[in-house]
Amino acid sequence: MQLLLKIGEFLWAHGAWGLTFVALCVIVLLIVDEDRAAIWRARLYKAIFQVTGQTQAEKRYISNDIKGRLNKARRSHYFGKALLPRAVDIVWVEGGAGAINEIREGEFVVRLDPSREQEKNIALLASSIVKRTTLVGIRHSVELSLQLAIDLNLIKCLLAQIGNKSALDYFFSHEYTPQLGGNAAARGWNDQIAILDERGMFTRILLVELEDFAKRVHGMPPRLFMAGEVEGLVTFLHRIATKQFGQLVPLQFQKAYIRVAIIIVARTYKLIRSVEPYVKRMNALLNKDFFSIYMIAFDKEWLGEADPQSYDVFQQQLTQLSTELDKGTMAVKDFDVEYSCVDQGGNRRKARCARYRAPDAKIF
Amino acid sequence: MKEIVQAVLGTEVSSFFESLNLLQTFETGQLTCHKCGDVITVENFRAVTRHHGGLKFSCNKNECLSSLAALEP
Repeated sequence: MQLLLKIGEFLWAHGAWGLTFVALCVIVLLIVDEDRAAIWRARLYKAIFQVTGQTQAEKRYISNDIKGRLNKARRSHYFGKALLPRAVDIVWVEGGAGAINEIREGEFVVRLDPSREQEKNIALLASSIVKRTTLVGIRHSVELSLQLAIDLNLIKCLLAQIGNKSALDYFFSHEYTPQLGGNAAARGWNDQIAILDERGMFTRILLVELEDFAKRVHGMPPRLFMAGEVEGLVTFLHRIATKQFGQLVPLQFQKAYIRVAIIIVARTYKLIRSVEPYVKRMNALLNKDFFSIYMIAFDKEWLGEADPQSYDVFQQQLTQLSTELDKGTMAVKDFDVEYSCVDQGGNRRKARCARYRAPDAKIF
Repeated sequence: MKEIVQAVLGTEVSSFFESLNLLQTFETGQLTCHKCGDVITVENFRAVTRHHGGLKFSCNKNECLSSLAALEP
């Protein structure tokens, strides 16, 4: 609202030149952001369809709305290199008398319903895209019920981001609940994955590691131990996600194709005193042949209420730690993101997750 | 790289099968779902892909569509 008021003041002050400038800014924004442009095109075609009733306008509304929303959502929740699931483009197949179509190997044609059922179209496409472009090359190494739990949670993440509550409702009532309903094994995995997602460890750690795992085992025949590594990784992360204060859980997972270590910044007094123990820990882990090392920190909001001064020192030390890990170790940083998550008490908290790897680790 | 998905509007399913030269096979109930085996009709057709040379169809059940979408080359 404030932005609109400022734009209004600007236009009032600069007249026609101001209007031209604002129009140019909007055009540049739309050109730069392909997904936002698709959403605006969808709104335009929806209006045309409502006025004229033309099928072509309806089709353009359906396809632009779906691809704009899904592609925008997918950009903001994945942290690997390949940005899974992949961006989607929708091309309409024109049938009718005289038209000849051929479906080539691997091409996928899906029926979409009229625009009054757009929430169903969005949920359906999200589901198809996740199935087609995630866990590629390792589906044979992941147990079916775990695959289902990973797919359903990824679709849920995508749909939660797109800002269409009807699509999320449709997904929960027609896909999520029915598919888990009669499958006790999938429900078990889903409970674990849902907790990882609440702590922010699903898209930031599990999917990133599975993407690297897929590249490491590419071209190899499926082996039983590979499935065991994937299941072991989920259980390893779940134990960390459900760890009680002071409880000791394994922080290293070292197998043939998945080798992950976690550094949790948990003890306030330890960080406030010095960042040195964490830097030493990173250096020790770098010599132990891990493919990736994560630093996870959860914000001490309660500390802000009890002792604001210590809270400020904690935040400064956290930033200092990040700088020291960059400068004082050989670790190569892949990403460092701040996000909000839900803790075990159901409270929303800020958190930070950074991924590092050894300088000589093979990059995929 | 983008994942290209081809789409058919629900009201144009018959003309889509006609363009594939499969209308007669479709109308006589010879096309079946790759997973559950149900006969594909105008009402229940959901998706089609070519896998290892053959066309595979899916009806509108979620598990059938999921299974078709997850087929690896």
